[in-house]
Amino acid sequence: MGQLTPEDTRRVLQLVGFYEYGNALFNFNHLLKNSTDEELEAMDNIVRRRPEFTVYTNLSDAIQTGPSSLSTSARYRNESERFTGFRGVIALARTEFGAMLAGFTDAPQPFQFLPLHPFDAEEYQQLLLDGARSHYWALLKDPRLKKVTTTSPENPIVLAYSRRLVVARSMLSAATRLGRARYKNVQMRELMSWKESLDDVQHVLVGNIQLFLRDLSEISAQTRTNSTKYTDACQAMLRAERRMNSR
Amino acid sequence: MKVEHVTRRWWRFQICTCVFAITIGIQSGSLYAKVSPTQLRSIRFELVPAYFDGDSVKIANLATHLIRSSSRDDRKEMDKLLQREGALSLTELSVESRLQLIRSGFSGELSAPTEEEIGLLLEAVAEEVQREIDDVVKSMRGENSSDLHELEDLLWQTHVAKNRLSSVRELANGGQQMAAFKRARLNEKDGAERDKAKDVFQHALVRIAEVRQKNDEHAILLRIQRIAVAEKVLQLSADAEQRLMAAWVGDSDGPIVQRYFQLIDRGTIPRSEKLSIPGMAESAAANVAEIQSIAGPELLEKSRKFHVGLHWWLRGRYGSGPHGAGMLKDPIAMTSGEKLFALYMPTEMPTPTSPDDGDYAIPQVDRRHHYIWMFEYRRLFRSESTTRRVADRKNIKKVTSRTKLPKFY
Repeated sequence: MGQLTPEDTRRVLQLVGFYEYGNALFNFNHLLKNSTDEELEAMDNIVRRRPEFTVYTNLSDAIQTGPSSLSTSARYRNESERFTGFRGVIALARTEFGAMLAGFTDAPQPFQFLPLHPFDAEEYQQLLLDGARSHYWALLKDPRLKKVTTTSPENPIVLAYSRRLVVARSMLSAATRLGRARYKNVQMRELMSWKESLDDVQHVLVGNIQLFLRDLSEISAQTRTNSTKYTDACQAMLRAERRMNSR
Repeated sequence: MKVEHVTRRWWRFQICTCVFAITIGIQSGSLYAKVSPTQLRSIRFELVPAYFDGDSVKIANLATHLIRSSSRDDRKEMDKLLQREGALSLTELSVESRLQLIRSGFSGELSAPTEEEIGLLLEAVAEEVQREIDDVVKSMRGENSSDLHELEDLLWQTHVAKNRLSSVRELANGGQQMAAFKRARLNEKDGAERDKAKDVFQHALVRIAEVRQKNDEHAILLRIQRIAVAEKVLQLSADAEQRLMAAWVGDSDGPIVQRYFQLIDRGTIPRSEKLSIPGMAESAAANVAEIQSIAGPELLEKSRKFHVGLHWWLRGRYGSGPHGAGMLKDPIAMTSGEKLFALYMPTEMPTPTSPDDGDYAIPQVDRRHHYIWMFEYRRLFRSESTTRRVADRKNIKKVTSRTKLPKFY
């Protein structure tokens, strides 16, 4: 939490779940560092008894519209359709918290903000990949996306979609990096091609936003008006994009 | 075919089409002849969209305005139009939206309701208060156990009952306030109706206090039992799971039990027979001290972080804010600790269902990251449980429906 600047935390604090998952992870991180395997398994058993902690997985299966080497094999689908223990709880908190950091701050490694741990590594990898797949397939079939690339950034929808691409690409990057050892060549090629497609769209949107801000700053200089919350949000989004490119 | 012949046929076709269109237009217009164009526009382009968006404030204000500016006959046609558009009737919209706002503790400004709306709303609120109290009483079974897991479940039930009683108390208070609204200006008959409603809510508040007292007492007895069980577990068991749960009991139950007995000693809470056993409070305090001593600081800290972490997780998973279809907190949360913490939480612990359940999945937003990017776009649509009632003072039926949450893909 100490890595975020006051400006970052202000914006992202408005999201329901950021403060909550953040606090949860702060506590879980301590447990992962200081508990024995037996204690962690005991915590896992306690959580398993409580249905409210169930986390369904493979949500992207419902969104996928074409063949993919990254689909959940039918053989494993029933086994992996949900997490019921402490591992899934931690993994979901990491995924949601990371996505909020990615979309609304310039935290350098949003999905590794807290140290990873073998205890929930498998579940975390699964949720990251599932999340990346959800965003990719959803963007692919989004009828508005093409129009957004030609819409003036004066319309907040452009910023929203650019933010969406930051989240999607960050998640894809994390899923690729953390799961590199287990992907087959064909899966890595597919992940790379997804990255290229999403990068291309974002390149257009970022270019449009940069032009918009440049034109606005020229007008501001002439009329001596201050920046607005919206232009601040555009600047913050561009910083998030620069963070992605610097890795 | 000659050009001239084609032209004549073409014109005949155009004239027939126009006559047909005008006829249909006249028929459509005559369906809602008593509804003015302004009212028609208001219903089609403001009220119905507000209904599907779940915007209770807008619905309440628009519905009241339309009720106030029309006769009962006019409203019959408005209700037909609303039905065609898939919405509730005007009075149902007014009652349901205002009821929803009372439930959520809304304290902003609204258009003053008509006397008819007030009457229907008072009846709806009274019925809901009564039903909720009866449901809570039925759910209170007064059970006990000597197993930590079972005691956890039983305590959770008392927690849920307490939340429900708090909510219904707010509702009854809201009803009382409504019954007093502009009371002095009413005629004798309407005034008497309002006084009757006020009495109903007063009795309900007394009953709520009694049920709450009984629930609190049962919860304290469960905690005292749990403290005793936890001490035994820590003394005798090597099971990591049991020890982790037992260590938490000292933290969670000890201060609550101590505080309860202090309030009894001060006379704030009446001392019942079950809590009058001599030395009960001291024995519980001694057990808590023993728990903390046997568990040790390391286990205590792990237990705390585990349970507190899970509590935060549940808030992140199921909590809802006042804006952005529940996805956003108030902007003041960015600088206010109180607003940062405040969330609407379900009164009963949800059990997640498969996302394949579509609009009825729990939670409805299984992954916040699917939607948070829409923040700037401000087009997060709300799905809300709405309760349909037949606006009939004698036979009030209840049907639940839901508006759809557009998918992010």
